[in-house]
Amino acid sequence: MKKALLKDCFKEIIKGFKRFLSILLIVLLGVGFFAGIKATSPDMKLTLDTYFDDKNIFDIQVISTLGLTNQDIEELKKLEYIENAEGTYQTDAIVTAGDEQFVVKMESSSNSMNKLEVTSGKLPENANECVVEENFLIGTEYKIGDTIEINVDNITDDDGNDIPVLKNNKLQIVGTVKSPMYISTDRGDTKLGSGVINYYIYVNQENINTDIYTNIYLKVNGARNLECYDDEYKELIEDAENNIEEIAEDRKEARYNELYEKANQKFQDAKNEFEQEKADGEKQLQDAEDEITLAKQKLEDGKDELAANRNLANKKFQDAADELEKARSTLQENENSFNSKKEAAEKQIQDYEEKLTKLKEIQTQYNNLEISLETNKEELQKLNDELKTLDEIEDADRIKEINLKVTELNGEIAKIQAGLLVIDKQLEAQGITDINQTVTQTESAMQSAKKELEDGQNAINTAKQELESKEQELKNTKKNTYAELNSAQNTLDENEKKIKDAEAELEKSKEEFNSKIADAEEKLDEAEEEVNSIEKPSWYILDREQNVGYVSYIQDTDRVANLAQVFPIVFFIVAALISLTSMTRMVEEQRVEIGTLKALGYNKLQIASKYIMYAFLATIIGGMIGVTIGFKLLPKVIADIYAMVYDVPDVILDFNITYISIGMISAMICTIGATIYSCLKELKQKPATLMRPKAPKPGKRVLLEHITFIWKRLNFTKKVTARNIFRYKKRFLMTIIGVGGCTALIISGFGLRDAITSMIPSQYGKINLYNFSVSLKDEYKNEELENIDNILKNYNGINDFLNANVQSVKIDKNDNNQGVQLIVPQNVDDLSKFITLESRTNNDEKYTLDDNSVIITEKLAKLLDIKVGDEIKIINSDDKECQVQVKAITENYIYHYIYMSPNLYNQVYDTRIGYNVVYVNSNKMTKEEEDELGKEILSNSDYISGITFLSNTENIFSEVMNNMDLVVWILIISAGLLAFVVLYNLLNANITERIRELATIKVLGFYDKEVYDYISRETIILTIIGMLFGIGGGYFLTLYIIKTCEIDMLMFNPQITIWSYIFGVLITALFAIIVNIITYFSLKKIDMIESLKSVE
Amino acid sequence: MPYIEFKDVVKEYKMGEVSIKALNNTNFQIEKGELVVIVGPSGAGKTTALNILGGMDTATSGEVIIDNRNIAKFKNRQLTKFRREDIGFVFQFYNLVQNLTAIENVELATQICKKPLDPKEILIKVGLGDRLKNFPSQLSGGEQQRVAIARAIAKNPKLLLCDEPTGALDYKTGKQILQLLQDTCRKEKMTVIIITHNAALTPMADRVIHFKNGTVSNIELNENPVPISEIEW
Repeated sequence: MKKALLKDCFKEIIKGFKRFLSILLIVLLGVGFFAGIKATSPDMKLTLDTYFDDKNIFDIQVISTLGLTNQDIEELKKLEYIENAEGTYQTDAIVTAGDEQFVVKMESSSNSMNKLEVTSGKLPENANECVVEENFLIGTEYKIGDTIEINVDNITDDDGNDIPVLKNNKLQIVGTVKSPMYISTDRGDTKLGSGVINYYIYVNQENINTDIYTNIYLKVNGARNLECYDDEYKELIEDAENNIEEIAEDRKEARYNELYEKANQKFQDAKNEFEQEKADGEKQLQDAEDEITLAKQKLEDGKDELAANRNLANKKFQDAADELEKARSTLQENENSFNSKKEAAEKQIQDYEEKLTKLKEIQTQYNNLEISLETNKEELQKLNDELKTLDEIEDADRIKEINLKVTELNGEIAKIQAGLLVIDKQLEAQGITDINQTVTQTESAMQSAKKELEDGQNAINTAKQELESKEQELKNTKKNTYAELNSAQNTLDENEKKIKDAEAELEKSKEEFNSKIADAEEKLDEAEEEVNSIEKPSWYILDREQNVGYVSYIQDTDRVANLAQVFPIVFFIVAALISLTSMTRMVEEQRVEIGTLKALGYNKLQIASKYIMYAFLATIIGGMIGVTIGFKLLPKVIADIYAMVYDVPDVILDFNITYISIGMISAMICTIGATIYSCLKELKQKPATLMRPKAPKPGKRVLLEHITFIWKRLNFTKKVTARNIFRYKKRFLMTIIGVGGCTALIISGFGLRDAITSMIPSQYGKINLYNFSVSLKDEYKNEELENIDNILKNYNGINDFLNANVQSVKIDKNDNNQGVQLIVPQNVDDLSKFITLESRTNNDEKYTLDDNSVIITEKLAKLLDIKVGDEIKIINSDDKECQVQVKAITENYIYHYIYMSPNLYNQVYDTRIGYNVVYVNSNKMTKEEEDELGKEILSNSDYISGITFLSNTENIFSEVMNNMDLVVWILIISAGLLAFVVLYNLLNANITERIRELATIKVLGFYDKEVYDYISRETIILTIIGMLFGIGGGYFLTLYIIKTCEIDMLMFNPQITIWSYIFGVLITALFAIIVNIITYFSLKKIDMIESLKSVE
Repeated sequence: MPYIEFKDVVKEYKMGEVSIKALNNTNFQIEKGELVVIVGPSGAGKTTALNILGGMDTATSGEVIIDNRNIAKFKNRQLTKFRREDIGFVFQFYNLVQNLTAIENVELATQICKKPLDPKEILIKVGLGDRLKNFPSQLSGGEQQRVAIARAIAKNPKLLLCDEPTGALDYKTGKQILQLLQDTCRKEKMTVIIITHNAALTPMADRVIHFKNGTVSNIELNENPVPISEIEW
């Protein structure tokens, strides 16, 4: 490219910057929107894939009806396709918070797979800890650090024992986690509580009381490197699944054998034990019987012995009494003889005493005399001694005196001796030689007499005493002996009673034993049957497609992808068309310059290169900016919206080369292609022709002119307008496609919004009329149901209620199945007060239940292609099947329902239905009043497990729908922007193309307003025609988009409100007006002189 | 008091730093009903003067008196009204609206006037009575210029301004057009001003104004203008 041309090209850009900008903008919008919307779904999927790889999510999981063992894990690990395998235990449990019960999915956390993301706190490190999802804390108002009680039904272990699942069911919450296994709000179904799992919690594997697993998670070799939604991945997984199937049979057999062996062994053991116990029992009974017999014998012997003893005792006592009597009479005789001897003896003693008294007097006299003799003799002695010592001279007196005295004394002595002699003579007379001896002899004789008497008395006393003691002894002995005998009798009596008791007991034991044995035998029989009834396990080999969150996320991204299939293409086509015409026009306008360059000798390529460069720059810059904004903005915004529903990390914004390429190349083809085409067209002509003004398109009569009666009535300017409109066919077409496309896009945006938003008021205002539903803890009938109804009747504000049976069922028709809620109202006639059953298209066509057929909801009918009159198979929550006819298809938007009369239910399922839900019509209440009433009802009844206010459900749905609403607004705003750019481009082109004409009429003296009218009348009419086409196109585009975006669970209301059309038209009109205002000023600025001075 | 008077008219174009004077103290007068020819080389300011006279452009300074009104002081809207009611324009390239028939092109002008002439009559007068319903593309250059003249005349203007009306036409057709203009001036008593770079045409005019370097260099008055048919060039 020559330097001058390049310079010229840039000058051109700067000079006609508005045009450059408008091409750039339209490419920006087209490519950006296309690439952005297109990239959204892949980005979201990539985000999920990366997240799943990050968290090491399983590729395949195996679930067995009989549980899985470590051996299974080992065997699976050995498989060629399997990289790793890990088992966990999973079960549904109930956690109570306040008055409410929540059903939780409890799983043991695995080590390396399905890694949890800790959002606060930590993972459970021991058997006393657990982690919960964040919503659990919000819903239950528990906090981290609180202890919760987990109620799980006991399980039967391999040995057939009833064991708790958890070693410890009081667990402390140590953290909150996000589980990549549950990216959606759906936690699955359960047989507990209301049938829906509220939250998930994870416990430590240590806490699991069994080494059997419910699930084995598998990683497939090489799967990580593939994107999990790609076919390649799916094929790999399929191969791996086949690989697993190869060992599945063996493993199932092994598991079966293991269980069978154990159960059988146990049964045999039990049987043996039973036999043993029976024998033991019987022996024990026999022993007891023998013992009783023995005891009886002993008793008899005892009785005999006692009688003998008693006789013996009686005799002995009689003998003793006789002997005693004899002894007594002997004693009496002795006493009598003693008494007779006693008087003589006493007299003798008296004699002795008298004699002794006399003797003693004599003795005393004699003795006294002897003593005085002695004393005198001594005196004499003394005096004689003194005399000897005395001197005759000197003691003459004395000697005299002494001599005197000695005389005296001698007299005395003589006297005494005389006296003594008298006495002696006296005594001698009496025969007594020695007084003293006689006294002693007499005394001793008396003494012996006395003693003899005393001894006799004593002997009698002793004998008496002895007799008495003997009598006493006999008495005592008798008493004791009889007491002994009586006690022996008592013992015997007791023993007799004991034996009787023992006999009764034995009888009882016998009975007991017999009934026990009977029971045990029955149990054994059952056990045997059980052993025989152990079935071979089934393995469920599931991939990620069974994860509800994963599937609905992928479905949602597919929905975005569907949206990206239509919307941006319409968008892109409009943009491409506009950029194409803009470039064509530009080249055409520059024919003089092209001619000049050609005349100067530039070759075709060189000349064209300027315009190609121009188009290239506009496209590349616009496209690049568009792609940058589109890739960054749209996936982010849309993913953020979905992030409100799904727990996934921030979206990964991937620069998707494919979409860049498709977008850019298409844009390039449009702009550069158009440029080359128009350049070639111009360049074919001779330079001279080119330098002359292009021969204006010849004027032609339009069809309208031939309809004279209309044509005549048109005033002049209208005629001009009419002719202009039909004359420029390209412009006509472009405007209609451009404006029509934008209007259609805006309408479909609003239409989609309508479809989404009208669902909720329709569902919760028109179809579900009740204010709240009360779920019961069980299915109730009769009195219990009346009790519940009576409880509810008592609350203020409750006007009416209806008992119903609501259960999750499966519908089967042509192998296509779908989860549905079956509603069986107790009172069929009352149903219309709570739920409206009517045709969507004709609200006057009401449906009522009869006893032969069911009514199903519209989307369900659509999904499974069910028509009125078709037979469908309903599998109820007890896995029972029935075949019923469809009577009508009723309007419904959220979920799927089947309505059935209780009579029909009883008939087809051969049962008596109970009711587990009460629908209630109440006064209008505020949120606070609802909470209050809900709490009150819950706390007042044991039957009620929960209350769902429709306003709550409505709010939840409104929130989800608001998210989609935002996506729709993005579409609307984009379409509006496009409309603006398109219209601006069109008007800009219109003005440049007709500038001479406009300048001419300006010169002719048209006022600004008139000039504006002259041109805008055309644009307005074209815009209106475009809008009309847009309305039609919008209708079909909306239907198509609704169809592609719809979720299985929901039915969008396909009725587009008039407002969507009005808004579609108004927004287009608004942009048209803005563009027209801009036009007005552009027209004002047209320089008549410049335009007319010369033809370029 | 002359019918038209240019008094010290200056027209200055500012191109960034530089300013170019297209008209520099231009003065001339024209009487009512005169056929005026303005001649001069390219860039002498003829067209600028004509544009100012026709209310398509405004003077930077000076007075432009037409029928006792100083249009130099006019606002945009007044100028448009002036163009609408008092001026008829004939361009070198005719500037017909391609999408309108001959008569419609004339009607385009007449429908906005207060006292227009009948389009059909005018077209007959210019010799196109049988081409009324033809589109411009179906007419020759001369015929197209006649339609353009008819469009200008039909407004019944005070002034008929023609900028090189024969520039794109061959000699013979050019002559016919000039004849038409001369006739119009004479018969309708219309003031007609023709710009041309062809000095040979000057004898046909009542007044000849010579332009040179943005100003009037000379004004000639012809006592006896020659009919165009007698002029050869």
